[in-house]
Amino acid sequence: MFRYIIFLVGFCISSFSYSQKITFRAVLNNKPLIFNSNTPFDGSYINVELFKLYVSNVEFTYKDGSSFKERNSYHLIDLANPKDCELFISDAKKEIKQLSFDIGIDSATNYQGAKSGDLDPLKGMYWTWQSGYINFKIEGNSPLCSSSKSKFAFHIGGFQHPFNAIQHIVLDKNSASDITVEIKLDGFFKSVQLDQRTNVMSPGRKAMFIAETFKNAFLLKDG
Amino acid sequence: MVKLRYIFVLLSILFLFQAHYNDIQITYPAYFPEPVYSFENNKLDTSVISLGRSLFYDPVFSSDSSISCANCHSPFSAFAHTDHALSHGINDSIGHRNAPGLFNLAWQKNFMWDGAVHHLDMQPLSPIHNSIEMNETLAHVIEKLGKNEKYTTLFTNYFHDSIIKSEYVLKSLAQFQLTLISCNAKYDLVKQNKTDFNEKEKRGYKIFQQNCNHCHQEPLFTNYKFANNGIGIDPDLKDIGRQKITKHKEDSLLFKIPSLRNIGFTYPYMHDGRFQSLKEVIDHYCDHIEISATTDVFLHKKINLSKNERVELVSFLHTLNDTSFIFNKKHHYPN
Repeated sequence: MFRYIIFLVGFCISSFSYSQKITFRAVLNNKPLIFNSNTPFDGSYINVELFKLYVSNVEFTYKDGSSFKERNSYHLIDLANPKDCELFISDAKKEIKQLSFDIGIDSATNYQGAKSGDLDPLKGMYWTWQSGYINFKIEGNSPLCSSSKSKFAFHIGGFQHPFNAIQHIVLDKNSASDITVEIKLDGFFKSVQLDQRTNVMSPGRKAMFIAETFKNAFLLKDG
Repeated sequence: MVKLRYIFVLLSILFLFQAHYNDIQITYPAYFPEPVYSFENNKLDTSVISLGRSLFYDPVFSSDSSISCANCHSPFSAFAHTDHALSHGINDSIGHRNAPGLFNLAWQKNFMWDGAVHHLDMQPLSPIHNSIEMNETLAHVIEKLGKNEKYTTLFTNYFHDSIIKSEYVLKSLAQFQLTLISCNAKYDLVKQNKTDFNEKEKRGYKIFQQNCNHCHQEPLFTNYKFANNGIGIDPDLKDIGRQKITKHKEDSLLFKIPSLRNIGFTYPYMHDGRFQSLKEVIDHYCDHIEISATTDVFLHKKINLSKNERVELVSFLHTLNDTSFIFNKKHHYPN
């Protein structure tokens, strides 16, 4: 009975409120990334096996100058799973001029202790030997890598000064269509240089470089 | 009669309701600073504390069910691992560091000797997942707890959720540990004007204030910072301490400054347990400081203490032993 009421209330709320959809998509070699397959890159290929990231503190600025900030805004995006790449943000139904969000988990949240949902440390996005959330994770292999079995793994995070790796992304929106955020990995892998860097798995200067490089991979696909 | 029955039912409902919301607060002396733990995100509850206590003593946290938290953090040694320089883990593996005592954790900002962990809730993740400590995963621990009726009932009752979440396990463990407050040593009784130091202790206290209080600050007997205390690096362990976490050269060989409370129960001493006695520790500070680039500036100046003064200092340090803490049955293995 209780469940039925909850369902009814939920249904009523959902039918009245509006939610803005944001889709995240990884792109490599100008095509949507296909996991566990060799994608041509720089005369060789890259095979991405895992790609997850935290999107937090989602904010919209509307054409009329007002703005919206999502509460408890923490989303774990698993790029390998289309269902986990869509966010539905309940805001006012107004035309969005600008979208902004953070890649990773902010320092204040890191200091709040154990959490559930997308912030559950069991989601594989939390370090165990050193505490803190992993802001994004990308793993795979490529003949370009000099490492054993040609593997690469970047687990990028860190929330304490001066290695606070969280990145703030601001994207302008021009058309009235749904929002698709593309993460273009070509430029990312080019800057990372897989022949020189294959493993960064702890906070520090290297992680900061990878995080700042990653920031430039985001763009809004309009229309 | 019917009315009476109604009142009785109403009262029992009220009582039940209250039992769910019996938030409690930790108590500590007025001369203690404010705790730093974020209690607002994990409100203390007697039931959750007792659940945390059961978990603390349960070997379910290790992959072969051989080791519980209490294996390396025994209540009788102020939750340290007495007699073991380096703590033992699964399959008799030897760890890299000396398990520290657990008390007054609500005041502590950083955990582990190198401060790798920044929040008490998250601390258990480290030993659970360490291959030479418990060699387990929290996900698997939760799976095991989910098959144990005692725990599923307790978790459901306290957290009103049909599944056990990592948040509940971590918060329960934190709640029990937060109740481990040690503030009844002779030092505290003196502070509260309930007793006096003897002459030897009095002189030791003065020596302490002049030479040790800089890092081992009263009343918690640590400033919770990190320092290189000039013991030099162990050539086998090659433990660089805090630098591993911050990646700053200036943090090389820095370790967390431990509290001196309960020092008589927590031997051996130092992060690698290299000193067996307090005499060895004091001799180190007086005679064997190794000056390197990161040695704490305070230790650059030689500490000159006579044989007698060293004995007096030890006498004072023993006034920090809190016997009522280690014999507190509320902290022991639950029946």
